[in-house]
This record gives sequence, C-alpha cells and structure tokens, in this order.
Amino acid sequence: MNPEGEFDPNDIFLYYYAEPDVKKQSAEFAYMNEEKVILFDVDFKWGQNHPDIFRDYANFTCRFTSEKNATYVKFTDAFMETSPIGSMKHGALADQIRCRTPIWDHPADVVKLDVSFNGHDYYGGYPMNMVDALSTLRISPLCGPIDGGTKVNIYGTGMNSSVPQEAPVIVKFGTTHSQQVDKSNIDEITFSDDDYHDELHLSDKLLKIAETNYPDIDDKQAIEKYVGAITPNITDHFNFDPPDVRGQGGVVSVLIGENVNISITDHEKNSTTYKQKIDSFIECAYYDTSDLEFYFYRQPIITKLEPNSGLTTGGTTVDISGAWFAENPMYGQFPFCNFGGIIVRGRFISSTRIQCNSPATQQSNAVKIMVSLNAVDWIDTNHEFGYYEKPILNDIRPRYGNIAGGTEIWLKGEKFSNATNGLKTVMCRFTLMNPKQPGDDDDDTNLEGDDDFNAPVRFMPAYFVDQDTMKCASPSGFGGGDHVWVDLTFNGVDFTDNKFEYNYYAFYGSFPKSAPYDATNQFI
Amino acid sequence: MSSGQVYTTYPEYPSPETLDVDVSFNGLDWSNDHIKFSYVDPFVLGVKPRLISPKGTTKLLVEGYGMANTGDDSKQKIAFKHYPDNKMLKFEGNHAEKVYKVHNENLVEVGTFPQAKLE
Repeated sequence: MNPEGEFDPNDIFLYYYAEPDVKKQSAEFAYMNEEKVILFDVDFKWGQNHPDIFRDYANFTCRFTSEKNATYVKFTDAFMETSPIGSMKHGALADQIRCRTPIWDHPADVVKLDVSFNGHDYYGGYPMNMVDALSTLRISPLCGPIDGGTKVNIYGTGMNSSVPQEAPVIVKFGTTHSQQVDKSNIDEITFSDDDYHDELHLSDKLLKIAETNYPDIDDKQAIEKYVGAITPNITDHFNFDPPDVRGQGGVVSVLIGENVNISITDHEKNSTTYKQKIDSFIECAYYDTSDLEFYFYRQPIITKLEPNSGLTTGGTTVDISGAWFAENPMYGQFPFCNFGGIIVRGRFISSTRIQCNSPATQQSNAVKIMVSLNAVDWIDTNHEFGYYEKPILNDIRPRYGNIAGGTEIWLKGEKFSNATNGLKTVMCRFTLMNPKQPGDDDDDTNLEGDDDFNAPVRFMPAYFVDQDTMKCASPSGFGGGDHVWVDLTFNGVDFTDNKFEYNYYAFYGSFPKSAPYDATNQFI
Repeated sequence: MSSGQVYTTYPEYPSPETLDVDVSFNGLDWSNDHIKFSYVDPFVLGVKPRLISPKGTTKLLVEGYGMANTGDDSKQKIAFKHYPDNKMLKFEGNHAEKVYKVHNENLVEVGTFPQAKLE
C-alpha cells in the first residue's frame, strides 16, 4: 500500500498447497559424523497439488532439532524423488523425499526430525537418535601381504552405537573391498599407547613417522576395539605377466561406515527403459575415516638361514637370506623373527638379507623359526633353531700332537648336546696363542702383514660322543713348538668360555740311528 | 506552527529512496542531523516462499524497492487477491490485507491467512 492508500499490483503468485502426508523416516539413527541419507515416503496429494508448481517453487528442507537443547537446530536440503530412484517411468510422480543428516555436535542426542515443502512450515516431528561418531583411530598391524588374510585390529568409536544395535557396520580396504563388522568381536577398552605399541612389537620411536597423521587419542580414553577385520586378497588386481610388476603392493585407506539401503531402477541395457526395482545402497560415513592407511607388501621368500642353533641365553645373530625383505617405517613394516613363539624385531640389511638375534629361552630344544614383516603374518622358513645350554669345556687330552695333524683330541666337559650333531657348525677352534709380529727377532718369513705372517685360525669338525665328551682331530698348518688355544662351538658363532692349550711338536729324525738289538733303556 | 517546528512541502523525486533532510535558517548553515525522509513507492520483485501452508502459518519475505518504514504502521500493508478473477480476497468480512514488518527498504515480512477462512 502506498501513502495514498492504494495497493500497487504485481504479477507474483502464491500457491496454497494441500498438506502432504509425510510418513516416518527410513532410519532410526545416524552417526553424528555421518551425513546419512534419509528417505521419507510422502503422499503429495497430487490430485490437489500440482507437480509443476512443486517442481518450480517448493523449497524442500529437513530440520533437526535437539531434544536436549531446543535452540540447537540444523537444516539440510531435501529433494523430491520418484521411487525407485531413476525409474523415469512416463507420468510417474514423486512419492518420496530424500535428505541427509547434518554433522551433529552432541553425541547420544535425540532429535526431532521435520520436513518442509516451503522452508517455513514443517511436518513430521519424528524422533531420531544421533549416536557416537563412527570413526577409526588406529589399526594394527599397519601392513600385510598382498594375498590378504591379515587379521587387523581396528580401534575406533561408534562401531557398537547403532540403533538397533545390530545395524550393520562396514569396513573397507581401499575402494573395492568391503566386509561387515562382526559386532560380537567389539570390546570396550581404555586406550593405552604402550599396549598398542606392544601389540605392534614396535616402539613409539619406530612408529613416529607412521603415527604422524593419526588422530589424537587421550591415554585411557574409552574407545572400541574390533578384532576381526581381514584384509582382502588384492592380487587379482595385478597382472603378473612380465614386464608388469605391480604385484609388489601399495597403500589403501582403511574406511568404516554403513551402507544405507535404497531402491533403484534396473534398466534395459540397450534401450535404458525401466526393467524392475532392485535393492541398492548408498555408502555413508566412509569419507570421514580415511586417515588410516594399510600398506600391502609382497611376502618375502626365505632361501637360507644360519646358524640354525644357539645358546639358551640368546643373543645369537641369525643371518636370513631370501628376497622381498623390506623396511618401511611409514607403514610399520619391519622384519621380525619368531623363535618358537617368541617374537623379536630383526635388522633390515637389504632386500635379500635380514638378521635376528635369538631370544633367551628356558629350554634346550629345537623351535620353529618364522619370519614376518608385520609381526602378524608369519612365513615358515622350514628351518628349526636348536637351543642348547652353553657347553662347559673342562679339559682336553692329549695336549700335544704332531704338526702333521690328525691327532684325535678328546674334549671333556659338560652340557654337550647332540642336537646339532653332524652339522658343519660343530667345530673345534685352534687359535695361535702368541702370534709373532712382523719384525720379531725370529722373523724369518719376510712377510709383512699379520694375517699372512701367522697361521690362520683353524676349525675342525667336532663329534659328539656323550654329554661329557666330544672329539676332534688336530689340524695341520701349525709349526713345531706352536702353542694354540682349543675351544669348542656348536653353532659356529658361540664358543665355550674355557679354552685349553695344545702344543705342536715336530719329528725331524732320530739319533742314534742304530743300537744293539738287546739294548734296553737307551735314549734316542 | 509552534516553536520547534518548521513546515515545508516535499519536492518531487524521481525514484523511491530514503534521503537525509537538513534545515537551514540562513541558506548556509544546515542542521546536518541525518534525519531521514523516504519516498515510498513499493515495487515487489519477489516473494519467498511461493508455496504457503493452508493453515496460514507461513510468513512471507517480500523483496523489492521503496518499502521504507513510513512510521505509520497502519498504512504499511500488503493485500491478497484471488487468481484468476483478480478480486480482493476477504477474511472475516474485511479485506485480506496485513501490516508488514520492515526489515529494510528492500525487505519486508508479512503473514498469511488460513486458506479456509478466505473468501
């Protein structure tokens, strides 16, 4: 109305609509970080309302009002749809509304859910639960072989919070493999960094790079642990025909979320005409949980392992040769050895060699030795590692022998073992006691280096007689009058603490060369 | 006229607009108090929402020009006509018109009527 009391006309039309009948929404709950798809069956009363006017002028909106705090209200855009989605049947009119839940800030909240057709007047008022955020915080292990089967523990939240409780939760490795969470394997725990690192058999220093982008967890924070995710076999994605070598693996995101069921349309492939309604789903929440990555590697092969025996006190360095060994701190990939159930971290030398120190054990026996790059998926080396108590050498007999060698030396002691009998690693060691130095008075060799100057350390096979007795033959190569130390090893690496002197003598001739046939007690 | 009041005739102005009014008694020194005077000539560009509830609970936001607050609420009204016969609608025997609330010169808000009670 202008000051003269006249109304200025315009060409803007307003439309009263017949109030549609909005049925209850499709979902009872949403994870607060989810933006979950919700569907409402709606009777739009198309006999009274005009589809074109709704299409042109409706402002479909979903409204979420907190029951705890009525001033906390969020809105999301909604859409008018024909079910099944994509049917495009001629003349089919909309019969449902679709919208998504908003990111919600308050866990364990009940909201009132309304739908509006003009963004102003709302219908519904249906209750809906906003539950804990569905998220992954840590995984263990961080890597595994490309042929899958790795049991992965997932630490997270919200995995057991759905309403109803049995609503499925899905874990995805990458974009192509998904599996349903078995909720009976979810435990409520208080998180501990130390426990987590113990589970990985890695220290926080070694995991520093891997954990750089991980979300924070307070120590003793109440979270959930899911024990039961299994990595997929991804080898079918790779072509192993040369020169394609992509089978070496790679990184995928570990995602968690849920699939919201919807009905979609199956079309004729050729004509795209409507065929039938089929069930499908929309993935929700996954995008929010992609901080964690799992690294697929190629499982190593083992070709050689030595020594394959060591002391029960541990500390024996075992050298393992093979192929496809790797160390990748970003994904917690380190070499590990398993000695009869005792796991130790190894040293990465090269892609074809690693080393592990044998752990101490209480029993002297042979144990299976296995190798892994994640401390979970073990490769059987087909070798056993023989543990034996450290042998004690008490005496040797005889203490003298000819420089020609071959003298049978009996070694007396304790805790001798036949576990390694017959192996080339069971040896007597002969070491010159007082090696001559170049330039000594009696140096008549004209050699200059230590190594060339003295007789080298000699090893001779030793044979088990009984627990107190071993025997070996003296080697040649020493000179007459040389004094050598003799000690004993069962694995070629660890030697007895005690060592005993053995002396070499030489016969160059006898004098006199003859004597009466009946002579007695004559010195020669 | 009493002291404290002056009288003038407002001049013609080519468009709806709000202007400052200053007073001078010597033609040189002006009051400069930023007192506003609006030329009102409402022109509606659009209304939201276009779908309204039959319950009459919908509040309309009307966008346009020349809808300044006149200071006289009783004259700031929007009326509803029926389409297609272009007759003023009636509500409880009176014209279906409502006083609008001015948000600013370009935006006002007005209520609606229950559909069942409109004639």
